[in-house]
Amino acid sequence: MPLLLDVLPLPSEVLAPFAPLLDVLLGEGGTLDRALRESILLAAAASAGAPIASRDLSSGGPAELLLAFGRKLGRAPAAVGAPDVEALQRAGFGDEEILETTVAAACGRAVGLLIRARTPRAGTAAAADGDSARTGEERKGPYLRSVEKTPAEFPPFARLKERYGFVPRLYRAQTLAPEALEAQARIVERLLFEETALRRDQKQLVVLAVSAANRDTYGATLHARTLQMGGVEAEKADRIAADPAEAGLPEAERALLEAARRAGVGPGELDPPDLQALLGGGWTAAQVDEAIAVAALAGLLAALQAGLGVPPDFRPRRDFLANPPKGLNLSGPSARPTPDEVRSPARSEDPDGPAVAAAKAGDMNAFETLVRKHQGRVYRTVRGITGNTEDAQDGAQAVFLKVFRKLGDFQGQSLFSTWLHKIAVNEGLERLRSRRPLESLDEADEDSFPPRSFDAWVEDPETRLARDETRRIVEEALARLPARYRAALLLRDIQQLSGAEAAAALGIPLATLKTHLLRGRLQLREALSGFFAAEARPMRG
Amino acid sequence: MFSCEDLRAELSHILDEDVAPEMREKIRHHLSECRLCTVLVDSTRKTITILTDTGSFELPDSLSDRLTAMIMEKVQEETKK
Repeated sequence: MPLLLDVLPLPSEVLAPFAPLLDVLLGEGGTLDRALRESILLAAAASAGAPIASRDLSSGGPAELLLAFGRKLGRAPAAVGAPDVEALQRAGFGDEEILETTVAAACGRAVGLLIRARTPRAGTAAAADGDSARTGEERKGPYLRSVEKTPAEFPPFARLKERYGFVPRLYRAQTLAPEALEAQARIVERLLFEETALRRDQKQLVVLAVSAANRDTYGATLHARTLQMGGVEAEKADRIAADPAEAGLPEAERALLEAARRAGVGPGELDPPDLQALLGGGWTAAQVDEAIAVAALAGLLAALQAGLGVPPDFRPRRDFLANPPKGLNLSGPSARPTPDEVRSPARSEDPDGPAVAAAKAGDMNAFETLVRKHQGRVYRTVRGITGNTEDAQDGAQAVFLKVFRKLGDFQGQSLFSTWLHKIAVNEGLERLRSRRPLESLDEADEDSFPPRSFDAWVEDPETRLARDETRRIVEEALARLPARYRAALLLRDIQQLSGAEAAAALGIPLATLKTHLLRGRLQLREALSGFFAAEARPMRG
Repeated sequence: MFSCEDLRAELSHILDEDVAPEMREKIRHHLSECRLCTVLVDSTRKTITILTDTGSFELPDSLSDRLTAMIMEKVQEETKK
């Protein structure tokens, strides 16, 4: 990697933990031009706070879009979401190119964070204007295509599975770039799982705290689970993710985590760490280096997740995007609303605010923008509640017609997307009642539904069948469930609302929702057992 | 003695990971000894993961443009009324 080392103000051993990935990204091969990958990497490093001049290689060509995406990933992963990736796809970039850009930018972010941590008074620059954290309302990923592979046929997956106990989705989403994936598996193995200067549990505390500080719910969820597998209580992991200073840790560990958090987030959120103070606090130079490298890895993983949009492997115990951990300086353009503002958000904080205002003023293109952005969720809601595709199409049209008529009444008391979702749920419920008048959503359940199938399931059921086929099976099983169970599953497990939100949307008590949810999950389990039990031989075709 | 019935009563909490602290050890102990309950918890967790993951009920890409066109047509008619 001769070119890169020329510009970086850093001894090469500092970069050594990331060398496997740098070698792949700066080598030949891949889909993008090698020089472009390097430029993206440097641009992301500069955006992450490294005081380096990133070369201005293109002037407005299509590559400029990839560079801008890389800069945003390097600077503020929490601000990157589906619309950024969709913009690239609309501009004609293929999934391989977007994946390579994401990986190069993520690696650049790690390099930038490493440099920033070692450069006195570097990177105190504020985040750029317009980096508001995404809202979580938008389309869920993964955004890019990937190929199903099993650990048995794909060595990087075998490595990851051995360490994590399964293959996390973050890696399953990167099969279009197998060499970079192999390099990541080696880095993760070395930095998170091997006992070197730091113990394994210390490294995993660092990666958890830094993932949370990056507001990377995916990473925080994954690494909390990894810690739990090592015997750490879930509540302790929760406390460390929420605020390491208040987690009751010994002073030396608290200081290490605090420094790691400073090292692992971008400019504008926290000042760089004071490494000298750590060295004075009982940690060796090798341990400090390692903690900073692990923090940079957490920063890399946060950027990867943001670019790929993979949903958490487990139900998150906390949404760090909506509910950031303590101690971050989130003032400035990327500020989160204060609790008062959450209750009554000003229009400027609603990502749809400008389009809503324009649509109210009669701009039909603005209304169409809102339709395109939200029709997927509306369709899904109506379809999920009614269990019927025809209802979903007609219902989605009816919902937007109602929205158009009522738009003048919408005063921004809630987010536009929340208001729209309520209308969609009601449309689904009305259609359900008109078709099946006898079916009531808050019906009491006296049946106890004893489980019948007790065959153990295969370890990774999602790799057993093609994704489309799994979806078809799940949809058919859901369509056969009583509507009250299906509605609970839709809002809670598919759209991931909280229990209280789901109960409110359906107009039923929370306890009833919980009962329906459990029944629904158990009945669905029975229906899927035939496909995913280890002994079962799934029907193909 | 903590029975399979007791475990099923706690299943909702187990799946949503909000088990009361005083129940945890009992559940852990029961699961370490009862294969059937272990299968039940494991396969129900996997059911939830599959459900969350597979994009059930998603709007098919092929339908996306057509749906937008249908909606906009309805809305345009509305403006002429």
